[in-house]
Amino acid sequence: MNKHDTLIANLSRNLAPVEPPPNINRLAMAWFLLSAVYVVAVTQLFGPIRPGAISQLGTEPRFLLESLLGVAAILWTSLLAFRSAVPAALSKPFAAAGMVLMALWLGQYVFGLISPALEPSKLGMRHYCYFETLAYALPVILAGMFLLRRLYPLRPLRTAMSIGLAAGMLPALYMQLACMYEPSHILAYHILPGLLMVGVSAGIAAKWNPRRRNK
Amino acid sequence: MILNETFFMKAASEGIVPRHESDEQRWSTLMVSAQAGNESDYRQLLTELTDVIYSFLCSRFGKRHFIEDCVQEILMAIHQARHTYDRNRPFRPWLFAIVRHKAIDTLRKQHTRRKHTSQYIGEQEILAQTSQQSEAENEMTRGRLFESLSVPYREVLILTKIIGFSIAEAAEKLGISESLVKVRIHRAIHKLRQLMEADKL
Repeated sequence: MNKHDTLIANLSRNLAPVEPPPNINRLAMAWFLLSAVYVVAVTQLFGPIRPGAISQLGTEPRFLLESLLGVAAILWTSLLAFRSAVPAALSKPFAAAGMVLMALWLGQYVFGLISPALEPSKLGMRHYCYFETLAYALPVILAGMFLLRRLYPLRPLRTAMSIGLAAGMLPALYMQLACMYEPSHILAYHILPGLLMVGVSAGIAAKWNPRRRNK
Repeated sequence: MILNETFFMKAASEGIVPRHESDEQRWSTLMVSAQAGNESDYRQLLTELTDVIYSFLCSRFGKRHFIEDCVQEILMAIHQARHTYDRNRPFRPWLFAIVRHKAIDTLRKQHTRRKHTSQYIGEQEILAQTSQQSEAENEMTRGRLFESLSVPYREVLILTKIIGFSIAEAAEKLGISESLVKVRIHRAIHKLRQLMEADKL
């Protein structure tokens, strides 16, 4: 018996049934929706949203477009992150489309420095929006990693970074309604901490890797 | 289950179903059965896959010592990831995503293997004439992926991952800095990963 046969015999001995894989898209959608509800709820809990922000979505088409683009980019990134945790479930065009969408959304704010979607103002300013974005994103990342622990990401760091990006951008997007509207403030106090969560999730993934622990 | 396997094998041998498709269907059926806990189907699946993986790696990298380790790593990975196979998706992309990833991962993690140095007669000549095609390189270029690499990338991979020299030793033999060796290894592996991902199966 060669060493491959021995290994195969060991792997197949007392083989335990495994649960069928979850529908990865549904899992991603569920995580996204629950996370969105959580972010909205916790943000409301710690302070009111900017007065008139909701009505501006109806009256300012560019602001609406900017917000919808953000939702689409985060949703796509969530799908991307979960798909990357299953071998061969993530295609390159899908991943590229997600990155393009995210870049387009963030590009809106850079463009907003020249031509903002709304008249910049300090109305509705939250004093701790930077830390709020960081703090609200953390449980979302942990929830995502908890869901992903049963899957098999071939590149765990990349998967974790995608989860971190989606999780970090959720509160960053909601701050668009909850905090003051001013593109430079959005970039520095909402988007930047959101992006920082990519590094945080990579750090968590490096420390907590269930597959490595099982070896 | 046995009926299914017999049907697919017979159909493939008679040319009713192309070999590629019959393998695909059979492996998918065996994996679904393995997910339910069927030991014999799982054993058969892994046995069949071992040959396929071995041939795949040899055709890409040539017959190298790390191929054996790599096959074992891949079998372990398939075992750990078996719950992620979805019967509604094709089996081959799932399998080869794992194979490609693990192959590169194993190559990257190759440590110094002094014992393999003895495989090469006239080691000193190989080291003294790194600019020439060495025995190791000839062996290696039989794998078509390596043919695609440029000479500097191929050299560092041969010295560090195949022959088994340390970074410092490889740097000395090539007459370049250690950091440049590291950079070249990193780039060579990145290039190999790209080539593997672009590989049409």
